[in-house]
Amino acid sequence: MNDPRLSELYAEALARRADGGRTACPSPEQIFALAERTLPEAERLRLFDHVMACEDCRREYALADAAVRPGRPSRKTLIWAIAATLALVAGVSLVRRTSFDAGRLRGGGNEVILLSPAEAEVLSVPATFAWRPTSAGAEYSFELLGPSGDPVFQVLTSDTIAVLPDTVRLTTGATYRWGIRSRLPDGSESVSSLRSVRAAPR
Amino acid sequence: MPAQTDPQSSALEAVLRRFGRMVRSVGAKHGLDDRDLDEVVQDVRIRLWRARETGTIGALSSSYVYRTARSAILDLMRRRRLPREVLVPGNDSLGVQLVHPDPAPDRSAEESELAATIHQAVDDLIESRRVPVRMHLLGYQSREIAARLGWSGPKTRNLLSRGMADLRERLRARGIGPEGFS
Repeated sequence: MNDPRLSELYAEALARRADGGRTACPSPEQIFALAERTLPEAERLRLFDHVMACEDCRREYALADAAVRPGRPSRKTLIWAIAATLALVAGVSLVRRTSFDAGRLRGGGNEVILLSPAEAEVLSVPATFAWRPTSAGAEYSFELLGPSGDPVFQVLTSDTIAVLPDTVRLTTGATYRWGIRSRLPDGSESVSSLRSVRAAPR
Repeated sequence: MPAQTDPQSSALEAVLRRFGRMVRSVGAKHGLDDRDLDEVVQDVRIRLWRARETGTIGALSSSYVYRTARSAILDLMRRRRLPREVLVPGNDSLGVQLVHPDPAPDRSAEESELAATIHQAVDDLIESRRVPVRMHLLGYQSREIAARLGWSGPKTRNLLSRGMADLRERLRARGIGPEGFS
């Protein structure tokens, strides 16, 4: 079953289950807090779980979201700006420029192209990750995601490599994924695909 | 409405036009009712004019417009959540519907069962995968999901792809293949 068909049937199921009484719905203030992204992640997920399954709440959320986006700078933008400033001031000692061999290229268009390590490569720390530059002035966020999908290491850099320090503990044999998000001075973003690597025995 | 004769009035109307365009643009994408959007934009307009006339604002700032819009939308939500008996019929587009029509009366029983099974399979996913899957099935792009959940792009794509794979596996276990029930 393809995604559009799944979406169609899912929307139909949601419409049939609509609760006109709204007894379990979050308050308007909570819905606005969701749109403003001021809630902790656990609370945000819990509320989104309801909102996205409730037609009435979803309409309210969309309206709040419509107001929030034109009117305010996003938290993400502010966080990025702060993080970038801190990284530049402090100097990211974990990252340095080296030469490397270009591996198998992936992706296309504006996607950030990952170079190494290759898909399914066995990883031992410290490890170096490399990608192709996107544009002049770009900054990159490197992320290594654990088996649960949560980041186990992140670094912001204007370079095109990141070094995973040996202080990061990886679970032997577990699969991790890494990817890059690139941000240009004009605020535009591009991302890489996610590439899997396996942690080597220590 | 005061005539637009001075620069401040023109500036205020320009801000309102811009705000209205952006809200309608986002609202249209999510299928919001034009009446709700009109009501919010009009409410914001009235509040801003009042604030200007009473000297509450000397200059327009985006944060002031935002706070005004926020207040107007919260008021709209609260009004629409009033008990059904006090609602005026025909004014029920946001939040509360007087009657929930059958979304597809001519659907076959099998289609309905299929929809219910998909819904249940989504409900059974773990929360961190369920939420992005719900949003994906409702038409949100990966980038939009990441922005709303406050997640990075890689984390979002990771959990979404795992969630969709998990969903398909659960559907297969319930006898739903590429063509529906097998």
